[in-house]
Amino acid sequence: MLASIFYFSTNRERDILVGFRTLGFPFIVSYFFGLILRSAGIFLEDYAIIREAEQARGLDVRNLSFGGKVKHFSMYLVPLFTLSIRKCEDISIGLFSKGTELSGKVDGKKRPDYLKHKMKLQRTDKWIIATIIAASLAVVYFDLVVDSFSLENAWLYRTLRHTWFNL
Amino acid sequence: MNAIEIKDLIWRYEGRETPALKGINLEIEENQFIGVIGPNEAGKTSLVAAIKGIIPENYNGIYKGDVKLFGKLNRDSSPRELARTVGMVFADPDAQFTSMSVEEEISFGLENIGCDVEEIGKRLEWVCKLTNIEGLFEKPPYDLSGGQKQRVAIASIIAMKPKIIILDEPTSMLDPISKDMVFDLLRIMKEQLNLTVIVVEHNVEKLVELADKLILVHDGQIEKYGATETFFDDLDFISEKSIRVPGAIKFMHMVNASRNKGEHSPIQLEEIEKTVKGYLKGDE
Repeated sequence: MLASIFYFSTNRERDILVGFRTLGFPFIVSYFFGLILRSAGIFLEDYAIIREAEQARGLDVRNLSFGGKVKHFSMYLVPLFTLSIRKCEDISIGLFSKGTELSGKVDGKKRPDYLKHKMKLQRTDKWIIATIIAASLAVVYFDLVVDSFSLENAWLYRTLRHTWFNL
Repeated sequence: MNAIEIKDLIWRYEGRETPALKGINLEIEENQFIGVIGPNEAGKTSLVAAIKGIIPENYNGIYKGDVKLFGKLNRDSSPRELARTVGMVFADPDAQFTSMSVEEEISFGLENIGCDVEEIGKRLEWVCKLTNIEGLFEKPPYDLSGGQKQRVAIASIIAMKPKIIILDEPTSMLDPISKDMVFDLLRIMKEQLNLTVIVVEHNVEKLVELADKLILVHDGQIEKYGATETFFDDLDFISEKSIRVPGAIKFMHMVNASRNKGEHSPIQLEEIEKTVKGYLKGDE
């Protein structure tokens, strides 16, 4: 979870999607992932608007107990759900109006991908990806096979044991 | 040639008692700039949505009649074919953004209609210069100002080079300066691009400066369709249909009436100014 928080907070959504496309994920997969990211942003915006509207009418949730806050949060779900359905409709009309057909082909040919063409996978990218995969495999190997990451095998633990306690 | 032909179009949304469109008949020639005016709930958006094919494709309801674009029934066209012929910009720019960067948003439509990547690059460069959105390429569209958002939305449609572009209240959610920016862009579209433009708009003052013809929609029907120059000749009729007639046009009518001038009054600000200056100098 920490890794995903770090990843999403240090990478722009656009770069994540370009990465997906460059690695050869089908258009539909990368596009749906983009829509999910976009929807998350819309959902949070709507949530903030509803909270501001409540605060503007004098509601202060800070004074509520924890149970009260949880109960109150459930009240947000109805307007958020309604707004989400409406936004989904808007987005589906937007997709229709741009001629979107969820297929990897246009008129029998492969669907063009401008961003993938512009940001091709370079040799350096391949080396970095290979290095990260190799490093990950090495971590798995040293953890599961050699058991290098257990407390008994930790370098600091062994040094302290040896120097302070002469064990 | 007619870009749009509508015959006996009736549309009723599911769950509504009365139709939103009540037997519309309309012909729009190609390369015209058309303004659509009318009060709220008159059927303006339903009319343009039917031209774009959003009605009946995306809504449930009862649909009768024909809408033809360049002679072809739009209900026989796929979304891709429709997108190649007609593009649409909505009132809420946020509702039409589906991508995470301006560059991706504009290239998305072009990919959908099958432009090759070299052509997409060329069109991106062209449309960004035309709409003055260079420098916004890598930004997320939803982080832009209202005016920039609407320019990006318009750019993404212009880039697809459809023969018809519909703009449904493109300035309704914008501040006055952003509104002016959008109208400047509409002027560029009219002067530089060879296409049919339909704009649904409440700002009649701005619309009369650009439109070749105006359509007055009221209660699901087309009450008036004609050249902009003569559209306001019967001011009482226009006012009866809940349209706020621009003050300058009313003023010119009053001046002409007081001088017993029978001919139609000028409606564009420049013409009005010229006429009034002429009257003040003593010209007849």
